[in-house]
Amino acid sequence: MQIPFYTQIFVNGVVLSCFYVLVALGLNLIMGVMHIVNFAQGTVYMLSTMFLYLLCVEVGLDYFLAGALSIVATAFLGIVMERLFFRRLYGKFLPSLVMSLGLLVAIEGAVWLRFGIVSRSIPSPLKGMVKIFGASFSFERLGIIIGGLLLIGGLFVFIRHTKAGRAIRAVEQNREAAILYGIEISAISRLVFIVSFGLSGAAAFLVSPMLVVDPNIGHIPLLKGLVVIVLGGMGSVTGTLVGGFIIGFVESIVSSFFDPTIASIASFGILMVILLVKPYGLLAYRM
Amino acid sequence: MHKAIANPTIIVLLIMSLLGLFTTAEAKELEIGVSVCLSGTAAATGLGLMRGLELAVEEINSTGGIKVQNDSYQIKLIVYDNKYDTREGVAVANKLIYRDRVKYIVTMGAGTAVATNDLFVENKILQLIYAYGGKKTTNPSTTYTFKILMEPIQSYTIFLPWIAKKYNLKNIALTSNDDDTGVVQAQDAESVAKKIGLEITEKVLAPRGTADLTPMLTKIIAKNPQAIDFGSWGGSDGPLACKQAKELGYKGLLIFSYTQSIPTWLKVAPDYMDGVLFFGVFGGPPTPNAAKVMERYKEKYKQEFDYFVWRNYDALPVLRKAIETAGTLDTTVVRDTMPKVSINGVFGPTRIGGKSYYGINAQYIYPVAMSKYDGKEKKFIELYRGEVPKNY
Repeated sequence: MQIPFYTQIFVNGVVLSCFYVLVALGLNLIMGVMHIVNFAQGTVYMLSTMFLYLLCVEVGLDYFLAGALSIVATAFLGIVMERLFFRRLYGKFLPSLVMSLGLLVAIEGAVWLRFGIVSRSIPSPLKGMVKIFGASFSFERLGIIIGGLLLIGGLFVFIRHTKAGRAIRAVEQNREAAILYGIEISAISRLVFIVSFGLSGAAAFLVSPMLVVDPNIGHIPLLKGLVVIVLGGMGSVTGTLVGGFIIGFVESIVSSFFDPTIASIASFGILMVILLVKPYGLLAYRM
Repeated sequence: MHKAIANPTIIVLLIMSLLGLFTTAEAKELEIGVSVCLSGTAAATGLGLMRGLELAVEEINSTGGIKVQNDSYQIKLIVYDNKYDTREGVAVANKLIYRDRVKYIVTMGAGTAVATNDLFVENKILQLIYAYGGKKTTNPSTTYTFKILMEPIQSYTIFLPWIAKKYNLKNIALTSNDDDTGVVQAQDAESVAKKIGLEITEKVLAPRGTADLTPMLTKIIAKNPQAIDFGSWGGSDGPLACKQAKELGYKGLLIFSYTQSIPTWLKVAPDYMDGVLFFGVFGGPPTPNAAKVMERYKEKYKQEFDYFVWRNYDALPVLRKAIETAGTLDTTVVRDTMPKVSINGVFGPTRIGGKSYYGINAQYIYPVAMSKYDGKEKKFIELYRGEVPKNY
């Protein structure tokens, strides 16, 4: 085992972590502010890849233009979904769960009808490879790392240093107090859905060329997203970041030394151990 | 009343209808159940199976159907999605046997085939399986089951020695899925590789649908194998694995020994197929009959030809020949007749054999080929075509 091997493991870990963090952040924001679990979040990611495929491959738009449009379309879908399906379900765990599962089934079914069952791919705009410390990396993977880290950093700045971000944190920490301070809850809910769906759209934009595109691809991000959130702490953006990087690196390291099945077992094993010590996750209540 | 009977027209009609009993047999239907995966990651494979059956049924029905003594049967397929899930597959088998009352069933999936074997034997239902699974799915207790697909063990036996010699291989890495099919395939590859003296540098099993295969491939490539065999990786996972291996800078030989959906490859990894070896893929139509099937496919479905279709096309023509030879629809008699018939199928001479390996003659045997994809010409170049021995 040489340096290229460890470099490869490190980069694989960062790529997986960025992917999981982006999906989990969207899920966690909605969970923290609305107190609901949106099981359709993985499906939103899938739908965004389909928007991208439609615009980029079928319509023939430039990848970056298609990506920008699909992120906007996904964010707009967040406004629609919040208004039509979730606004009245604030804090109602079971109804919101059933609603989001219903949306998951309906959206996947609709996508099956439109795109069929054959998996597809979106051509990468970043062709070619580069060698770092003897390890090979495709430009698309480097794109995921750079884009992912920028997005995560941007979200942190937004949440911590902007008025809107502070309002989101206020609502997450104490909804009643936030109302007393004049924060309009419906506007914050809408904003959270826009950001959350936009993040899934951004994840789709970054990751789609690396993976396949089909109606089933939302399941794994949803599952991993939930693991990351529970591990990091519900409602905690910092916790999501920490949880995402733990899961991403555990999967990369264990898969590279053993195999992906043991990696999954290891991820859940770590989750269970941490929950025994810290039942609310590593950094609960620290937005 | 008397007046009516005396009417000459009615008398003529009565006589004609009575004569009709002796001269024209009523058009009869033979319902064949199909338990196939039409959703999920194996859906592309299932669609190929389905379309192969549809085209074969069209041909059989348009050439007079299945003749059983004086009767002629038009085939009608009754199709259910088993989602490539064993529990769903068992439910579908029960539905076909007890509700639809079919006597012949085509099943996709090794897990389902194993789980439903007793059901088929008890009810004397003749089953054609589109599955691997080795001796788990074909053995002396699977008395009513015939395997349409040539198994990896046969493909490895035919192709691996040739590949090792041609590419001067000293070692190989193996990866496969961690389900029944995948484990058996990895064992088959390992046994043949060891028999011909290849060192196994790494053997990794992983679940289908693993999001990113790069970490697993990192481990495999770190041992510098001259070739990687991707075992049962198929569906969209196959092309994705190839793409990710090449992105990691792997320059060795990539072997895809499992049934691959070429349309999926062309959509997922068209730029990464160059030099990749595909078992079971011919350079072009292997026979004139195969060429006709290809044309009919393109005409009917208006799509790029799916090579899965050839691999299952002969399932029903062999059954037709067996039923016609047996002269009955009795499944036990037809079962006993199956190993005695052969047809000129899409790949050439097709028969039933396998007793020397499985202990029962229940395996469709036909010539198989291996091809390399030429990325510049965008076509498959057939490298080798072979068959198992006559006494297999």
